[in-house]
Amino acid sequence: MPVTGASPPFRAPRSWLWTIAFVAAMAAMVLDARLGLLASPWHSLLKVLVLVLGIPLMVSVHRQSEEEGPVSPALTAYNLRMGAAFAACIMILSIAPGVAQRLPPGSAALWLLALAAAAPLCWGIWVTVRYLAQESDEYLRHLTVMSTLAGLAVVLVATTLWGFLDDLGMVPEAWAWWPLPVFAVGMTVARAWLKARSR
Amino acid sequence: MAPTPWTPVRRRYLVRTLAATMVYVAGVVGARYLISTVGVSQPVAVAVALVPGLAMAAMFINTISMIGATKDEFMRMLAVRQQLIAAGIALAGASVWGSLEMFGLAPHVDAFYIVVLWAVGLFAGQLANRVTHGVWGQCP
Repeated sequence: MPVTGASPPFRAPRSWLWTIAFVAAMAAMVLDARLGLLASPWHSLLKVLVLVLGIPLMVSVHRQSEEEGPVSPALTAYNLRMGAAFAACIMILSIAPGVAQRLPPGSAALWLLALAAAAPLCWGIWVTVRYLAQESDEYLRHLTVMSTLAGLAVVLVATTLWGFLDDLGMVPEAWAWWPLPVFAVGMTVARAWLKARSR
Repeated sequence: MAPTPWTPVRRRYLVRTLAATMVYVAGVVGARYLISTVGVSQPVAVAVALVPGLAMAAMFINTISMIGATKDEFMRMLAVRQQLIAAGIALAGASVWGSLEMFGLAPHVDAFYIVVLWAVGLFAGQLANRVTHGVWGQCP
């Protein structure tokens, strides 16, 4: 007699694979920027690869949401806005260092460029705030709140550890914006774990 | 009888937060002394440096457990809102400072200062709760 009610074997969602590829390319880009590992044109190609990988990542995340059930209009808008913020962020961070070299140190234009580089990151935070205010599905809102808190916890623990080791000269300095990608990874992992647990 | 803000949930949260803060401060001071003054070996230095990070993790687990233990939905919403506002302020601050630092417009700051921003954000979250909902966020 066939066994009924047996859960299907676990299969890693396609979005996970794209996430791993995207994070690996991002990490390579940051390492290259810090250590100057690649020569032209590989240096520029790596930036293009990060941008290109962002597209299947966003599409796979959205498709996965659709497969798991009806997607609320607020979630669709959130995915689109977040995708745009990510794309803007990577584009500005790819272009800005080259532009900055042509600007006089401490000039108003350099300040504007630095603030422009931070703008998509801040916009991404605002997109999350708007999503939480607009989402009418309680389960989706709970999922976002809990994964946001988990992402924040990962950031606070990681920055405390790294900052302290940095202060004592045991690890290299890291730019202050790195908590944001750490937050995104922490949030994504927590969201996937919460979803898997609720099944 | 007048309602008191010192419910068991609130009391437990404050006591645990205070304990974690003391461990954090002791960890920072102790590690700095042991590593910079005494000059302990590398593995011991790393182990000692982990203490403030673990204290931070304990502080956050305590916050999550307080939110879970708060029965009143309105008060739980206020606690979550406060944390989200703090997260937004901390991450936005880190993004702006990081960009300024990247272009040599601001000096390098150690990453753990984001915790200070988060603490400021917690106060801003409480203030926002007071302004928009009329309460600071005391547990019922």
